[in-house]
Amino acid sequence: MNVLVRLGWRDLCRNRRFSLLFIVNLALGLTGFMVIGSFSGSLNHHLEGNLREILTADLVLQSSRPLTVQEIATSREITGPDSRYSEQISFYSMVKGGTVAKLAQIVAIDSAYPLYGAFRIPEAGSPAQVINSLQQAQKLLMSRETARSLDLRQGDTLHIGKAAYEVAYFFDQEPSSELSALVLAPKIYLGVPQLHNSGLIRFGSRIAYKHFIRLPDSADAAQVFTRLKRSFTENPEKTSDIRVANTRDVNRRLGRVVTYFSTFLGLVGMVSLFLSGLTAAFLFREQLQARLKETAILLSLGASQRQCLALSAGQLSLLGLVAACVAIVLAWLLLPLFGRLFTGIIPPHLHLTVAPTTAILTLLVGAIGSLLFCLPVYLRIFTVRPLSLLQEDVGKGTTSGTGSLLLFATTLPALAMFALLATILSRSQWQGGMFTAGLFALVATFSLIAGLLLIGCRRWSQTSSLTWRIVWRNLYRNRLSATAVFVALATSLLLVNLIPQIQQGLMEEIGQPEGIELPVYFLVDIQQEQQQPLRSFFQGTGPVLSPLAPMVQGRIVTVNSMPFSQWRREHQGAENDAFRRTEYNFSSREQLEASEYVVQGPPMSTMPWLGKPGQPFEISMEQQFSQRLGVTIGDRLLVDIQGMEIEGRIVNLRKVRWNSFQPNFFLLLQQGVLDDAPKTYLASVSRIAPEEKQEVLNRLAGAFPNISVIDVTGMVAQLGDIAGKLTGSLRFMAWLAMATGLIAVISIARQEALRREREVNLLRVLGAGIGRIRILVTLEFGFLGATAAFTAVLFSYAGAYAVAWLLFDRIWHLQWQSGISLLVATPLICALIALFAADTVIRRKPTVLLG
Amino acid sequence: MPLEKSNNAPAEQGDRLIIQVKNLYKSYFQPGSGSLTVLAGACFSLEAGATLAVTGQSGSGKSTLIALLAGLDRPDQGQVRVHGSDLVNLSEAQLTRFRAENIGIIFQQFHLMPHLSAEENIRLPLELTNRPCSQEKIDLLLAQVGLSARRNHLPAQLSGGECQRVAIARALAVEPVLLLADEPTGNLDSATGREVSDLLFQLVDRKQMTMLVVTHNQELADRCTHRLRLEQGLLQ
Repeated sequence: MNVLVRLGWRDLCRNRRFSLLFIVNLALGLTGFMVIGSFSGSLNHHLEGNLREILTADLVLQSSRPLTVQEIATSREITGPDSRYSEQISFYSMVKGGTVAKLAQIVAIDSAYPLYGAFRIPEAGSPAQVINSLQQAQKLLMSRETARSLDLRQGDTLHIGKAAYEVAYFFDQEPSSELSALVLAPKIYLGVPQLHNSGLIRFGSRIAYKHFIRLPDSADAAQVFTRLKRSFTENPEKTSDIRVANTRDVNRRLGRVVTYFSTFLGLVGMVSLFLSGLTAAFLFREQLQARLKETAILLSLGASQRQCLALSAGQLSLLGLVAACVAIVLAWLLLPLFGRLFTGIIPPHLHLTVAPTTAILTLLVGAIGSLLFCLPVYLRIFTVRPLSLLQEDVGKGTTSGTGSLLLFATTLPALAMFALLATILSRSQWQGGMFTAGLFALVATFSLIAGLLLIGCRRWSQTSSLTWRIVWRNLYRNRLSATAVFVALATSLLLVNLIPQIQQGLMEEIGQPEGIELPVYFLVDIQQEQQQPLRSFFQGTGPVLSPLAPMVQGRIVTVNSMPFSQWRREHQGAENDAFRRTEYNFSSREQLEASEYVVQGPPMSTMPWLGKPGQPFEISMEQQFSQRLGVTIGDRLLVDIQGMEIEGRIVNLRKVRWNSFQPNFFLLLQQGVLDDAPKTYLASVSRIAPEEKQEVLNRLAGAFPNISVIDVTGMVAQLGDIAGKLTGSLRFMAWLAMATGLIAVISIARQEALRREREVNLLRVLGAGIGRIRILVTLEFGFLGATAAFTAVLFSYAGAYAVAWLLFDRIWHLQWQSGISLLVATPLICALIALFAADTVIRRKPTVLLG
Repeated sequence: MPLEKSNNAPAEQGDRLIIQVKNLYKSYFQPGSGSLTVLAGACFSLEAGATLAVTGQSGSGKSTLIALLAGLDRPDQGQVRVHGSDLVNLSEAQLTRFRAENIGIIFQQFHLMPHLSAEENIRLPLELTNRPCSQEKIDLLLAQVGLSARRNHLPAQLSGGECQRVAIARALAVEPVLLLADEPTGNLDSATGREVSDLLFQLVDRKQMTMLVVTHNQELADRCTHRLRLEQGLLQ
């Protein structure tokens, strides 16, 4: 075996504690990266492999109206004679079982459905037979959970609109189970021929008409997609209300969700890697310091500097590789647990496994990253001279101090690698760069605070108490290690305390928006003639009906005389492509609701628009919507309302609290504009006691079967559940960062104890007992823990405050419990860990002084 | 005062000279007290097979002289020729190679690699420079220093005298033309020191090697064929 390899190996074996701490520390840092990489890799892999099953087709034509015979013929001409078609009509409606009424998504399918994927229907014939029987009779297919929620059993009758249907089949799995955690209403399948009996296809019903297309294997799906799109959506001479979607659209849509998940988690995970890098550099610094003499001996025996550099580089890379392998194993063990945090959010049959590309990247980061993290220390080998062996201070003064500029320069490769990894995880250079810069700025700020504290320690060391004098002096004299402990603890504690703050803000915002009464039900599809009966229905009872908000569907034709399609091309970025809609909902109000307010421009006129030529009506637009469309106050919109084109001008921009679950709209038009247009209405119902909810719903569904009733409290519970799961996974990563921070404390406390062994022994020889030495360690690390916790808690409150204002638009609420817990627990844990790490050194006999 | 050529030093004898030092100057910068001159115009030479003792008090520049002769440090001015090579004009890489091939160094504090056994420590300089390293040679060296039975022991398991024996064997393993010893008995008790110096001179005699020893130990110095005394930077 090569002598350098043998030397390196022996050295690592001899310094087992260093090797072990280095590996554990780096492994923890890499685990977060590995878990997130594997999680999003598995999810992406699953989606890539199941896109057609998720879409149930190669291509889909979708519209809010039935496609004409001519349109279908055009489509068939493009897709070719061998392509297969399946029709689907879906909408939301109230359904009524034996005793329970509920909103459901009614999905009418033909016998060809699904073109890809399949239902799994136990206790029935083949799925194809079941789908065929749905076409023949008024039978329904649903999940057992849906049946249970409607208090239905097999053979019972369910009322949809005017018709009664038999609950005939239950499925375990449906073909288009998408990545959607928020379910507005459960799906109920029936045959297309049986739909019309319900009488629910009427004006104002929000119906989606879909035509699924399966192309022959030989077809070029991308080319067919382009031709269809050109024919239906990009031809200005034809109506453009047909949307064409393909598997790439599904991938993009689902991929966005995956990206949101993995970006935030990944970046939180990167904090662990950063902390472990910091600790690795510290550990290696101490190790290198102890090995300077050996390096000098090697140089004196004829080894070249390159060989000495290679020796250390090889050791670091080996440790990094082992750490990466440990991280891969840990990730493999943690992934199922991590997947459980996302139950209900990720596809149920997703197989979470270690992603090979992430594993390779982790091995690379382990091998190269460990060297880069330690580079500022590693390069000190250049300054080792064998001459030092002839001097008395060998191993201490053999290196010259590197300039701060050079030191900064040597940290750049590690920062660049960090930024690269953050970019890979966030899939955005900007986000990766900003995150790295932000973290660097945070660490710099914490270092500055630590520096100021340690200057204070120097002043406090004038105290008459011997114990405190030693504690303050130790802290000041060992500034680098004290700063490293402080930064590692403060950074990880910041995360640990920030996440519950944000979670609480989010939960409060969802569950009880400030100043707004959250409704219990949200009513959709109220017909014009149902206004008065509905008001009478709620009059004199406990529940309160909100003012009915009219809603009319229409299209924007031009913006400032430019065709809307052209305007969007010029003013909307590519990433907004997914938001391109052709139809919008318009409404008007006598006065704004509590859930909205004007942020720019004057209030809209309360006078009705008279429709004089050349006098545009006034438009109030939701602020974010205006940004998305690229319009602002003063811009003119020509809108098509039920075939009539009229021009309006934006007079103000509104901020809307969408989480209020009140009837709100992107576009409010001046009163009078919608008077003559046929419209439906929206409303909300509040103040219903929980025990009366179902009874009110049953009566409402009985009296107004066409009105869809959305259970807002149920939605809030679902949102809360999702928020809880997401923040749960964030907490998982934050605690991983905390574990890395504690490893930093163990490592540094151990190294400090070893470095001060002589000093400790001297104190013991001079009469200090082990107890007193322990008190010194406790006070020193307890102080660092307390100050780091205090700083982290303050910063986390400031961060939560900023997030509350920026994202939730609400006044900050202090969530003090977690902060207090950290302030109490951190100094104790920190001191205990330090005592544990230093214990063997403290308990050694002070005979070393005689050696 | 410049370090002058000692009367006891051998005269130049052409190719037989292993060390030739001319007008050697070396000073160190010390923060607060300015420049400290250690060597100021030293001249001396040493022929092959001779042994030279350099004695003097602590801080007189003895170790500096060894550092310059070993190519571990560079003089401010002057010429250092060892075995015909002008060390002043060699690059760092050339100096490293020259040292590995021609010079053996014995340190006062032994400076053994703590996690290598006695045998491995002896092998180390040969392996580092990829030179042949037969087992017979190592066995012989171990036998010569009387450590055949302790070959697998780590330095921490050896006594001071045994460690220094390992260091001597390691220095001799490369078969150097010049052996430099910095206080080789300085860390040992008098009896062990005597044993080690006996061994050292025995091996140097047997191998007809040139040796320069820096020492406080007058007994050790007296065993050398030549002696120089450095006192406050001056040769006496």
